[in-house]
Amino acid sequence: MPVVPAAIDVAKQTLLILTPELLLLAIATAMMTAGAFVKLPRRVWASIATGSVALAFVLLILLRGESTPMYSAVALNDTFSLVVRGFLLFTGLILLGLAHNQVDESRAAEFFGSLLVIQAGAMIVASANELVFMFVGLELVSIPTYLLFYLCRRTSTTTESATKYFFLSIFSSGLLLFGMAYLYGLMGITNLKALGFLLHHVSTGPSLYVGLIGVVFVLAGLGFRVAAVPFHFYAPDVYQGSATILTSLLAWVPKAVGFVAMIRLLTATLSPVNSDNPLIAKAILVCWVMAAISMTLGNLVALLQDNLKRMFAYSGIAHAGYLMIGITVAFANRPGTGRVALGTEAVLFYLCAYALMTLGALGVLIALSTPDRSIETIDDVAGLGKSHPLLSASMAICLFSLAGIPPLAGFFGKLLLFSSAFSAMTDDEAWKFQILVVIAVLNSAAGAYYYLRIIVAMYFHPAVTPLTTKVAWPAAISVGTCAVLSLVFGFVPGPVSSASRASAESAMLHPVPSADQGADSPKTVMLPLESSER
Amino acid sequence: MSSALINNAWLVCVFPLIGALVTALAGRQLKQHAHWPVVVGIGVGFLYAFTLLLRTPEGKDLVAFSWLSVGDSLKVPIELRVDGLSTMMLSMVTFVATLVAIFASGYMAGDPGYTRFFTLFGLFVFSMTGLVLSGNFLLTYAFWEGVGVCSYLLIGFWHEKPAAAAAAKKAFLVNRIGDVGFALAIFWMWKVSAGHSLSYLSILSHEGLAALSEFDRTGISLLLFWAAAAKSAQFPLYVWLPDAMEGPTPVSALIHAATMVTAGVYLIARSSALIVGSPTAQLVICVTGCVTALLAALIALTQTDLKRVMAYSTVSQLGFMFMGLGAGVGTVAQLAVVAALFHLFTHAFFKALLFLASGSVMHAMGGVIDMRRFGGLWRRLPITCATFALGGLALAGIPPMAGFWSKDEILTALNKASSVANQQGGPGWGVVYGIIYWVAILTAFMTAFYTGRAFFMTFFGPEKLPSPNDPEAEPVDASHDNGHGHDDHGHAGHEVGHESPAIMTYPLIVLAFCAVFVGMIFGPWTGWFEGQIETMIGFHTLNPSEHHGGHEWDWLSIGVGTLAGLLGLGLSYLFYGQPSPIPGRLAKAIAPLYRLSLDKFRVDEFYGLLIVKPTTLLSKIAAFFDTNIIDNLVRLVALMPRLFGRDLLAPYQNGLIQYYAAVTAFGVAGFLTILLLF
Repeated sequence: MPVVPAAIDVAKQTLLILTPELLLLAIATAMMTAGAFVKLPRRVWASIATGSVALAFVLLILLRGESTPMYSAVALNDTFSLVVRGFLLFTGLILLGLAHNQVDESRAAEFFGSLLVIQAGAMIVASANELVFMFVGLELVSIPTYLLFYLCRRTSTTTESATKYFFLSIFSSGLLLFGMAYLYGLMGITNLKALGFLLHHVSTGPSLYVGLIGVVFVLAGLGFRVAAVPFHFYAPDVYQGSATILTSLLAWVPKAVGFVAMIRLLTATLSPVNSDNPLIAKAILVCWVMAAISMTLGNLVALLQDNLKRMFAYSGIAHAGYLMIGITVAFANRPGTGRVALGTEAVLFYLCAYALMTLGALGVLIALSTPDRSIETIDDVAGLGKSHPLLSASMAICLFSLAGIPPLAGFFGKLLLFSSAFSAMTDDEAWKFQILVVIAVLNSAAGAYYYLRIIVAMYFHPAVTPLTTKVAWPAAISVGTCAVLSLVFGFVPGPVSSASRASAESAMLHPVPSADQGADSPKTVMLPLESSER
Repeated sequence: MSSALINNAWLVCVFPLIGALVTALAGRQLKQHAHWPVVVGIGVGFLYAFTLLLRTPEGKDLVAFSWLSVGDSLKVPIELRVDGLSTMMLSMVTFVATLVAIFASGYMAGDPGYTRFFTLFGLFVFSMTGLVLSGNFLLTYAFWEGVGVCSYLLIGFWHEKPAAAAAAKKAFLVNRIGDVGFALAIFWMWKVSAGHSLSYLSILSHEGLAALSEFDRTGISLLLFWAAAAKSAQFPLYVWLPDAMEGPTPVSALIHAATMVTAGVYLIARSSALIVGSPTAQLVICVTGCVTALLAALIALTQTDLKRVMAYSTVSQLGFMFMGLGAGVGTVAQLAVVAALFHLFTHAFFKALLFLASGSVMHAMGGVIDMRRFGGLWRRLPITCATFALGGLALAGIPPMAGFWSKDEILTALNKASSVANQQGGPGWGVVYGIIYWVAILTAFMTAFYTGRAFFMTFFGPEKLPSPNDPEAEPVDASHDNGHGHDDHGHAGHEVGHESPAIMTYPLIVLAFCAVFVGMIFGPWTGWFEGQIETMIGFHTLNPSEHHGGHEWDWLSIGVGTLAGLLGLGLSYLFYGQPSPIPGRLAKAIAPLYRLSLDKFRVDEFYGLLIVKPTTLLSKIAAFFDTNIIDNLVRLVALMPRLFGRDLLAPYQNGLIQYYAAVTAFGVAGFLTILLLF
């Protein structure tokens, strides 16, 4: 019998690795409470928030050696969790740089407090190893977002989009919870690693119907967060209707959280299941359809948009489609077939590239907007190349990266996604993935058009209304970081791709619990497979 | 220490790049000092390269990092090769480039495009050093394109001049023809090499070559030579180089004489382990080189534009180098490769010198370069005259100047090849190589003659200056006037006939020193150069048998070669040393031949009729097809998203929450129904 670590030790260790999240939540609570009593200038609140994110980052690095027993803890500190949380903190800093002056002085404490809670929630999703804890993380992202809608500037359109997001988000949380209940029903446990391990070791395999209902409902709930078709409807209306800082928050955090949760809940958990199992084949089919429709619809409709925020909403739908390719491949990847985590690796790399290019591009709009004038349409950025050369160069880099032009980060992300799909299967099923790649390549070609249109407007069209905005330095640093890193990760993709690979592989681990060392054995034994090893 | 030095060899190309970027970004602030970042960048690069050279590295391959890797079939590593050959080339390129950059800072002073010039100059040196350092055919190809682009931009530097714009276009297009060959060679190598690796080490190593069939070797060699022929201006693709003289003279000196045009020679020499595996390819290379050398020398005999004479001379000398490379049959292989590379090396110094001296003349004559419009300049331009003379002696191959040693090595290789070729190729090959040998000596004679002719016409005879309202003088004068506000030296354009400023004459003096001594310092006397080349990949396996020893002097070639040079110079003095009726009478006596040489054998007209006209016709048809058929198809496709997105999808994005929620619910239901039922 394996020696099970004492529950109290596990709890202590779990709290230890969650220190960064706890710190953020504590500071956020303090800020939101103090906001009612103390009047401090906005920049102080922004600095406190930035400082705590930086402190959380330091704590995360200090705790990198700690681990929790895989089969009994609610949170993990594996490579996946570390890398994703680190990157989320990094994008948190970028978002704070963009957000630093986007709220009224009087509501700053609550605004930055909510941002910190969202940050903590996103990190909990990345580390969660338990169904309920995962749901807590996801709700910690959603609920403060509703608050943010009311804290930003309020007009009738923002109120409308806030209402839409509120109702539809609650609806999708319901779907997700329903799906999670069925995942629990598969084995009667909530620990995800244990679930994955048992699914493989029970001779009958998972029940098809229970599993399928779980997968489809979870995909529906998370599909809303990542804005994948047919759960995308809110995105264009809400992106366009809300303040640009919220648009960029919505374009990045829920998408990242959604895909991370898909990996933790679905692909990593179901990956040890034999691929002959009809459940896997059907999950691949669902993801395939979502990927194909999302990218096609997103790109086609984005071609017609003149409002940049609405265009970015459709572009975000298209990118969700590209990322769904990686999820499709991740369902097909399994231990023992050469590279175990190609799809997951590609998803993580693409998320990193996506964060940089989307936040950079939307960041330019934020940096240029003033309370009197919001930069939203393609005519607003005309002539930007002359009036703001550095800012428009950053914008151009981010847009080229979104279009997937080499040698930028977005290109390598697409390359990894598409090549992972090509090598996902080698048998006669391979054509399915190859068709998906063909659809994706056609989509990238069509998508390049609307990104290039913005660049043409910036550099070759005269300004309609001259822009004289003086860009605040925190926003400028955020945008500059995004552009420079998009460029650097294009030239030197190695570090990001090896970090993605290590994370992806750690997420797929389901070691056999060894008797003498307890459940958290450092030995990384791959599951023995009945199928022939390649 | 030493290994850290070698591991960071990539710095040699980064320094010029940094210089170029600084100049590009801060050019407006630096104004007339815009050349400094580039000069310093290249200079530091030279110091680094020279330190590497003195450490004589044993040959080391470095993988800087792997840029792209898709599966097992496509890997693009940034891979460098540091050995005797690359360090020698690096030192030469950066050294000459430093001097030319200093010269150019005087020559280009006051030009409105001063900053642009030095930015492009730095970028060129970056690409050229990258080309030399690369250890992978794919990376070489990238830099190969890089030097091509810089060359294009610099030839067309004065793009408002129609002739310059046309010359730039011509150079670019002809070079593209060669690039096709290179690309095909790379595809072929990728197909046949082990693990699809394109690095020099895996293709040129003994095992790598053993895996190739005779057919592969010949095919790849010929394709590589196709590429080299365009870049190094060989028949029939040499036509772009003479026109390239429309660029500023420092550009002609560096890019179109000393460095870029030798890239083809370098590529073939680099791949010599592959080339010697195919005697057919070697014969093709040798014959092409021979035809080019002879043809270009014949044209150079009658040209009156000083820079054009030098341009044709460059073409001819490049032909010499290819003759040398092609002569590497059997036991001559090592000697031949060393000879060709050594000629490349010495030629860089004396040809850069001759070009810069021509530029100095042009500068002093207010932009006039036609030798009939001036003469007897030795009193007015003493330093230019003296340095030109030394460069000319080196080009003519008079001992003990640099050109003598390398020309002699090539002749020796050809002579030996004629005696061993029969065993390698077949009966009759020896005779072919024998004929090439004597044609080479004839070419050497003509080289000396046209060099002497250019020198005597420019510097001897009665003093003559171009008239101030000379039609050729205007464009440069205009450019000087434009930039008058910040023009500190370079007034020579206004007052014709003064020696150039010191910033231009010092580089001439340094290069003249090199033109005299590099042959003795590096040549067969000391064996330094050969010792460097030995660390090249596959050098030791070039010769079939273990035949390796010290340099053997071929007294026949030395004697005949020197005699040809002296005869040529003497004859030119007789014709042009003072006003003489002989050239005119001679021209009349062989009028048809004279016209043919003056008209450059009408090769350009021939191409115009045979290639350019049909191509233009074809492109017109293609343009019609494109605008009328393809474009309409594209418009039809572009209409689809409009129809599909606006009319079919838009109604569903209606802004009602209930509707959105219902679609979500039906989506889930739909997925589940389909999956559960089927």
